Amino acid sequence: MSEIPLFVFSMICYVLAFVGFCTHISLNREKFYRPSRGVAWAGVLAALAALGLRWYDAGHPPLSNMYESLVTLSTLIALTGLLFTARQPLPMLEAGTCVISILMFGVASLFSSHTRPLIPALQSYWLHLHVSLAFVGEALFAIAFILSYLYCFQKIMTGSANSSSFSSIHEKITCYFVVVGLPLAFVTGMAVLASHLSRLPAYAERWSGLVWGVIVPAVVTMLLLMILTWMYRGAVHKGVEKWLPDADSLDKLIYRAIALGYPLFTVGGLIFGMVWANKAWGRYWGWDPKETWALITFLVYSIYLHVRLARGWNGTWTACLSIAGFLVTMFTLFGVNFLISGLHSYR
Amino acid sequence: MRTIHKIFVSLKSAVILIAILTLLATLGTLVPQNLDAVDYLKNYPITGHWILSLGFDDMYRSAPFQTCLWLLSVSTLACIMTRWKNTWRKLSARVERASVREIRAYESGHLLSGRLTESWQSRFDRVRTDEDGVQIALKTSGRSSLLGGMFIHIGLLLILAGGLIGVYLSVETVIRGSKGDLVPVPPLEAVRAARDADKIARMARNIRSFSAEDPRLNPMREQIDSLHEKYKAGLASPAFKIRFNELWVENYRAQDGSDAGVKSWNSRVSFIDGDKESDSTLVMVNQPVSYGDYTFYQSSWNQFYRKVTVQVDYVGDASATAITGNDSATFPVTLELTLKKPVKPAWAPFDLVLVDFMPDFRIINDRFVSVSDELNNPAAMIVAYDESGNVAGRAWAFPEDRMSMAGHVTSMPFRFTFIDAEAEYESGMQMAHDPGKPVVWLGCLIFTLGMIMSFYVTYRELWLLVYPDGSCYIAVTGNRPAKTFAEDLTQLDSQLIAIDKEPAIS
Repeated sequence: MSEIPLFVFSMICYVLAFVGFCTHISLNREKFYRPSRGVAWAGVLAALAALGLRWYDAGHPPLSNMYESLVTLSTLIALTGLLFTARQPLPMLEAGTCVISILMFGVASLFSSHTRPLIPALQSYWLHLHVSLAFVGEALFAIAFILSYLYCFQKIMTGSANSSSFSSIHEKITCYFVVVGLPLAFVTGMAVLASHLSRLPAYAERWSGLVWGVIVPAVVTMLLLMILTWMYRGAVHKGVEKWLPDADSLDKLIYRAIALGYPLFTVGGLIFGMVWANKAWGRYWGWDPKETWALITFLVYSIYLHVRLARGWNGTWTACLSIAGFLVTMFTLFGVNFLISGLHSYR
Repeated sequence: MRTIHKIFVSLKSAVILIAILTLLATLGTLVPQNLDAVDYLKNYPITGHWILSLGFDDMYRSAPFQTCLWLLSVSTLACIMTRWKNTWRKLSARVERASVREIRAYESGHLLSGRLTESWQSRFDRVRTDEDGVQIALKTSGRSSLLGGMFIHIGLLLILAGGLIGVYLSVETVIRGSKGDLVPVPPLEAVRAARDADKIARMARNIRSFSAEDPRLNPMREQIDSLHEKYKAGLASPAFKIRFNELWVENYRAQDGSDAGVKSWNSRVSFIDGDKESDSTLVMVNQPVSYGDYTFYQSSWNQFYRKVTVQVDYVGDASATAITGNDSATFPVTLELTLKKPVKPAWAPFDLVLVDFMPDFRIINDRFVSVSDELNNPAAMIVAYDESGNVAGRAWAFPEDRMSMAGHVTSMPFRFTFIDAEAEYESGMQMAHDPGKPVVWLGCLIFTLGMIMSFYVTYRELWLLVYPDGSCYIAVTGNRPAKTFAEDLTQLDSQLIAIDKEPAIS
């Protein structure tokens, strides 16, 4: 039995949950929240079942190539989002995790979904430990990223009502750059990637999936959200005030997500990776691009923790560091495989 | 001295160092590493000189990167020493250092909601009375969390130390062998000499690309020669030898029975140390074997062709020496050639040597290369040598259907047609020795423990202030946000309240 219908079902659930959360926030109707969460849980359970089915069929965990990595990470992000908000409802964060999961699944459609037997280097229990633990850490970084985005969004929304919200013009520019610039940069990046892939014979049949599965829905949703936010900014402002915690609490939530994810990523991604590399290649560190970028991810989050814990920095600048950390994480996962070849370039 | 200490202790310096390290590591992945100087100058006409002079062609061994690592080590050490004082004070004299004002300022705290129970002192670890007569009581839990930061930094320092030991003392090389081969494994000093010779040779190549007359080149050449001699001596009297007893590949099977990719590469080897021979051991990917000072890892696998069978036809006097004393009627003949091994058939006036064999021949950028190990487009290069060792002719052998190509590259009175080649396996084993590894693993363990203690263990301080007038104040604080301690505060409150029958304190 193919797992694809289950993944498609889970994506439909994420879309419905996203619409539900948005309706709940914008119309301020509490009755939409629980059903939306229920639908999101249905999506996560379907995705988990699909991953289990794939594991059973292939005989190895779905972590061995880009397609499997992206669908697993997509599921983990949705699951982590739901668990993170189990005690404290944060509909905007939950909507954000649905968006990231959908986009990640859309990008996964670029890669072949055929199950292939594991190459000799990947036949190790360290594959389970190294990749799965690193992915849980990355899922928590994704939560921190969404919260950081919402932090900047909240700053802008409160800034439009209260001019003292921003301490400097740089902070204002940065917040706008994050809120408007990041989605635009994402869509532009995806368009450049699609144009590049359309010239490669290996992606001749799949690059259009990126256009119809990621770019077009992202642009339509983005435009719709921007227009609606602008038209109903009063209602959105009320929604943000009601459904997002204050800036200080949001900052603490960002820290909490990173404090949970950082040890998991460090132990899973770096230390277990070192142990495995030592067993497979005879050296624990070889400055392979993937290793180096994993180290860069660790260093960026280390800077975040140092400045926040020891210097007491918080607010927009630490939120930006968290965003930078997630962008580096995504480059480590995705960009290195495309742009820099090395021992870890599994596609 | 104090200024230097201040710089290293400062968090700002640590953050700057981490940021520089991040930047350099990023550059290291963007600039291709370990190319020859000419390649940098050709590919990066503007920045090539900078890349070479800063050592960014070998970023992770370059002076800026290594300096950054050293400075980070010193900064970490300074941080450990500073932290230790604070941590020790917190662990040993927390109550003594606490003030009523500080405790009243904690976010999570309120007046006790009832009368204080008589047995309250038993619920606290330490109690002291301050100069105003206020009794300050403290109970802590999760104290290991206070040591988390220390452990993280000690772990990091050990990882850095292990890494630096590895940079200077580790060796890493690849040995190859096919079935039955006995390969000498040189002692550590010899392998280190070869490693150093390679490094100097690369430096010399880079210097030569700027100036062939550079005075540094001669001493470098001498140094390389001396190191090569050391390596050769090591090969002549090896630490031990490794015999490749058996090599085989296991493939996955598709449902139709065809091969569906490699499942595992396996080498069965034994180690021969003087007269002693070890038991035969299996080396697989992810299953290394240690012997002597080295650990052996199955790192690569090649299929190669040592024996090639060709058909020889007499084609008359082409351009080289004419065949003498042979009847052309004896042709065609079948000839088996072994790579690099001269053969002198009775019908040929010279030695024939198979100098190269490419199973999947292509001409790419004017170079002859094999694009795979499979016999898709085989090509054998045969060279004839006369009695005095001079080249007497050259010929290419291709399969029958591609022989039209051979006419252009034959300068012998024979035409060679490829018939078959015997595939053999060659196992590539990474051979490594790194005395820094145990230090790195210890560092990783301490680092992991530190992170668990720091991020996942909740440190709580439960405070009670008993004023001389009998009023009481309770507070809870720790390494989590104040609202997470709300439940602890309620619990503490209920534990300290005297139930009605119980006598209250006077």
